[in-house]
Formats: sequence, structure tokens, C-alpha cells
Amino acid sequence: MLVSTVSGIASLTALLAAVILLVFLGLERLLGIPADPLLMKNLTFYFGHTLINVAMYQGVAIIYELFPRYTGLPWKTAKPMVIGWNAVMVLVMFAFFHHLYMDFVQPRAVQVIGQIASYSSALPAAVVTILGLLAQVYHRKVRWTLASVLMFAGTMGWAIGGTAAVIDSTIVVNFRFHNTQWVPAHFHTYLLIGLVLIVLGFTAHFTQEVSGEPERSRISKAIATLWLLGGYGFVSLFYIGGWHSVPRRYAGYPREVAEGSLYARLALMLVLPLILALLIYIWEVGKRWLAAYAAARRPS
Amino acid sequence: MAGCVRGGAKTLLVVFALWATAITALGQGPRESARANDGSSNLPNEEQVIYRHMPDVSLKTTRQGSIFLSQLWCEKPVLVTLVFSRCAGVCSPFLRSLGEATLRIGGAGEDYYVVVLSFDPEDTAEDMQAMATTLQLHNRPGWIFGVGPPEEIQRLARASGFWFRSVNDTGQYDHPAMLMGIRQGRLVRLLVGATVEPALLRLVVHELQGEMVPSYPLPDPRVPFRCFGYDPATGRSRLDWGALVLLSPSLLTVMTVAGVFTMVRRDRKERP
Repeated sequence: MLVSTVSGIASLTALLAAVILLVFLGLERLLGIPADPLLMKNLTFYFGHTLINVAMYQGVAIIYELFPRYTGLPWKTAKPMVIGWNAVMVLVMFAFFHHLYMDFVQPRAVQVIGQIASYSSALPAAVVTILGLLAQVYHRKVRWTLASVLMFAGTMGWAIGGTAAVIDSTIVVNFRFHNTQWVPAHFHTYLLIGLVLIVLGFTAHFTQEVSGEPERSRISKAIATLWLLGGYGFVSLFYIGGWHSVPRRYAGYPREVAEGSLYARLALMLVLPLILALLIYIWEVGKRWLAAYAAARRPS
Repeated sequence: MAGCVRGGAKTLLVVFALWATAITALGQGPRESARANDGSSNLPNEEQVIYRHMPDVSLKTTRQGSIFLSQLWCEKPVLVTLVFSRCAGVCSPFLRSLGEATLRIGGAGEDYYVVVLSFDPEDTAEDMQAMATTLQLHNRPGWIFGVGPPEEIQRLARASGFWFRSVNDTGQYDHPAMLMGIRQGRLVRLLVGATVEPALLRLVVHELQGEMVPSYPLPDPRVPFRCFGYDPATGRSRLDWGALVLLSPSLLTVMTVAGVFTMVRRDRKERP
């Protein structure tokens, strides 16, 4: 409830930014009143950055709600948690400035605010959620199912991707890493092996609860192993590319960073286990989904 | 009721379609006409050719003999321009302007070469040398005047977006005035126009030397909301009305949330 409220409020502010952006676009297109490129860029990132954070927070809300069912330890809404998430709500509105470090016309003070807000907004969410989750599993008998494994791995993926994001939000680092493959590395991490895993974990949990069908342990292990192998391998090559200054969004690489093509080929090969994991997952969870649907249609 | 909703949806759809058509028509109309009236569409466009690898050209010069353009750009950055010696138009004023600008910023011969090539197949190395002498550029360090095989010059012109066409029975060519900044065979900057501003050329040379040259569109006075105002005299930025627009989603959200919380608290207090 707490995280959903925070996410709802943050979504509202992102929506307002998007509306203002559209109004300016409309004024420029319909009446020819030019818009300030810097203001438009700020508003775009205000909207986009806040929205992707909200998506992640909703994933965290799933963890708070469902993971205790696998550990038997309730996740209490304690005071530090409330303070932490309220702080996140305020700080996330100013973290987006880290997307504009290369816009040298933005005053330095604003860039510094961006770095401080990025660091500060990451801390409460990370400390509360990751420490909370580790406390849930530490020395506990956890019921490891496909759902709980995916949710746990997703949270860890979020932590790793988030750490890479915070590194990139450091002004001196961003000066080197901006527009290198480090950027897709971090957002693929917290999405592909972060949020997506949490959502898949939630779906697996939901279908199992509704269908009541038993889980096939070997299939679940295969899905998790293939996904983590493919996912981590895939994003690692992005990180290596970023580390070696391979730029992103290039169709062909210049001689100086020609190794980018090799990383791309290797990454493509690692997508195969990912796709295989997804297909098995769809098959396995889809069957449960159909069973649940059939059970719901059966006259009681 | 369902019919009413369906009818309403249809009306909404029609209104949306009309609105979308109006936006497209209004938005594209002035732009298309502006494009049609604007003669600048024929000018070489830096955005389309930037960072391209330039084809090599074997040069014939009177002073350096036969050399390849690649020999020069492997040694240091090169400013290349395409002219023709019998030009009664822009070539001479352009070269004079370039000569002035290079004098002002210095470094020719030490930090970069200036290569003046003819695109006219009838020009010889001697014609180009005579042109250099007339313009008093023949003794300038780092300046090279020459000609190249027409097909190689044509390739260089095509790669850089330069064009020239013969004007019937006049012996003249129609062409733009253009300066290429080439580093290690790659086109780094393109200046188009008859006058070479020393300040702009200095930035080109800095960029050719691998230095970061920041650039940003100048504020348009018609923009009603700018994030920050900039004072060129002091180099300082100050908050403008656009900053308030940027802050407005946060402020509105905080005010809405504070309002909701106050109402809830009041409601709780009033409950028996």
C-alpha cells in the first residue's frame, strides 16, 4: 500500500510533466511558438525517468506483498521504511537531472542536485528493500519455487542494475560513460534480470495459487538457470563494451572500437538461452493459466 | 444506453480524426513552404556527411610535387577547400577570407595544413599557383594549392556533399563555398559560406586537434519559457520562467498530496 501510494503520486507528477511537454509541442506545431529545447529535454527525462522508477517500485511492492508467503516472516511496515519511501518520492523528482550532464548549458548547481538526488533516492529503496529481503532469507527455511526464485533473483538484478545506474549518475564517470554501452548495460540489468523476473515471478505465483497445480521442480530450475545464464551473460557483454568505450546506437563501429561487433555477436548467442527459458516459462505457466481458467468456468 | 455510448465513442473518434488531420496539415504546411522558398536546401549539409571517411586524392602541386592528400592528413589535420582558378564569383573572396582568418588564429603549417584544390578539369597546378600568387597566399606556411585527377576530385566532392555544375557558355561553374576539416581521413567539420569567421575557424581547428568544442543552439527570442537565461557578458546563468514550468509538476504534486492528507486528517478528526 505504501509503495503503491508513493508510486501513484510519482506517476501523477510524471503525467503532469508529459502533459506540459505535449502542450509545448502542440503550441510549436499549431501556432509556431518555439519551445526551449532544454526545457523540453528536461520535461522528457522528468517523465521518462520517473516512470521507469515507478515501474520498478511496483515490482518492489510485489516483493513486499508476496515474498513473506514463502518465508513465513511478515514484512512489517516499520517507521524507517515509511521514512525511506517518502524520501524516495521527493528525491525521484530531482534525480532525472543526471540525464542532462552533457548539456553544458544547464547550470552546474542543477547537475550537482542531479547527482545528490540520484545517490539519495537509491539509498532508502535499496537499503530498505534489499536488506529487508536478505533478512527474509537469512537463516530461514524458504519455500523455493519458480515464483520465489524469480522474485528473489529479480530483486538482486534490480540491485545490480541500480548500482550500475548510480555509478553512471556520478558526474565524473558519466563524462566518460555517457553514450557508451554501459548505459544499455544498466537498464537491461534492472529490467531484463530485475523487473521482468519479478513480474514473471508474480505471474507464476498467481497462476499456481489460482490453478492449485503442483510445480515441476526440474522445469522450474531449468527456467531459472537458463534465464539467469542468458540474462547475466547478455548484460555482461554490454558492461564489457561500456568499459571499453564501445558507443551505443551505432550501426557500424569505427576501427577504434571494432571489438563492439564481437561483443554484439556473443550477446546474441546468449539471447538463445533467454528465449528458450521464456518459451518453457510460457508453456509451463500457460498450462497453469489454462487450468485455472477451466476451473473458474466449471460450474460450482 | 449502450447505443448512446457507442454513438459518443463514434463522435469522439471523428473529432480525434479531424484534430489529428488539422494538426498534420497545420504543422506541415508552413514547414513545407518554408523549405520550398529557402534556397539553402542546395547547400552542403554538415549533418549528412560528418565523420565520413574521405577518399584519398593524388595531388599535383608546383611547390611540393606529387603527393597524396592522405599523406598530409596522416601528418596533421587538414582544411580542404574546392575552388577553380577562373572563378569570377565566390572563390577569390572566400580564399581571401580564409587567408585572413588563418592569419588571425595562427597555427597554419604547424597545427594544420590548408589544401586548396581545383575541381575544374581544365585547371593545372600552374593555374592554381598563379591564383595563390594573385591572392598573396603563395608564401603562407602550410598552404598547398593543387589539382587532382577529375574522378578523384569528383569522389571527394560527392563524399563531402560539395557540388558544382557548369554554367552554359560562360566558362564558369555554379558551386557553394565550403571548407572541410579533415582529421585522419575523417570529415570532422564542414563550414559553408563565403566568409570564414576567425572565431568559428578557431573552433574547427580545436575540434580537429581533438579538443571538445561544446555547441548549443542560441536562445530564440521568440521562446516564451526558457529554463535558464544566459548573460554572455558575465557568463552567468539565471533562472527563467521555464524553470518554474519545470518545477510545476513537483509543486503541484506536493500541493495535491498535502491537500489530500489535510482533508483526510480533518475528516478523521470530525468523525465521532
